[in-house]
Amino acid sequence: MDIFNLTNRLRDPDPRVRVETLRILAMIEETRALPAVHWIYKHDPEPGVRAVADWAGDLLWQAHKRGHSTADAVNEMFERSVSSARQEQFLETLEVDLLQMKNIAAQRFVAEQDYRRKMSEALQVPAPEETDSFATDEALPQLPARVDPSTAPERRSTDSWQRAVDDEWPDWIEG
Amino acid sequence: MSGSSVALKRWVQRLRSPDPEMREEGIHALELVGDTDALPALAEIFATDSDPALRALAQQAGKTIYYSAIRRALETPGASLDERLRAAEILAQARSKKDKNKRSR
Repeated sequence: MDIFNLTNRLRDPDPRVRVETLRILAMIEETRALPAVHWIYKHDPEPGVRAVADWAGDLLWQAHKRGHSTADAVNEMFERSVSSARQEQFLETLEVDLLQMKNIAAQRFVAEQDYRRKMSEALQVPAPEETDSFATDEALPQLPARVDPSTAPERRSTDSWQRAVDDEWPDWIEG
Repeated sequence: MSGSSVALKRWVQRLRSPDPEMREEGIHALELVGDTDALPALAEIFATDSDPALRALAQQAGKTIYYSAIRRALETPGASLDERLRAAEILAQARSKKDKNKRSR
């Protein structure tokens, strides 16, 4: 899948592809797609697609309001620095037996994914006994906010995301 | 069908299991595989699964795959010297053809 042309998939003649794309954009919180989602909400010929655009637009607007951006999220996920002791501690807990994998690139990728997932979980829900060690990593930036599992992905905002997008990107919408 | 796409299909099918534990296992596996072709299936779970925790897990996996793909794309080195030379040749030929057409009018 070409992730750099997701918004082009919103022009696909098949409504199922448009719905699928709207769901993906909402899931990954690609806030740069808000104007395109808004356009679909206003102009798509299929009522079902417009309804999904309404749902996706609301989620994207919530992400936009809390300052989420893909570029920042990528930076925060990959660029943060962690103490070497902490890295070793996590490497010891990796679930995958890397020695069983022959491909070096696959080893690196799996280790990276597992490491990042564990780090993400630990940073968001620190165990009580680890509180002291976390204090040494105060410089760590905050991870991207997660959607509250108890409420995702239902709509939460009470204001009109459509009007807000109209106000924020009037040229794009009119163009 | 390649081996990786067969594996991907198998994990995606697991997302359709009525057992939430199987779906959870499928989400974790797809996150580890890291293929962007898994995004539609994860997005379906995110949008429609009856279990809120699985919806959140699918979103986390989808974001990880998406961000990783962006990072990989950013890390891809530019065109090699040979590729740039070939591109320059093609451009020069196109320019020459365009000029020739202009002159013949």
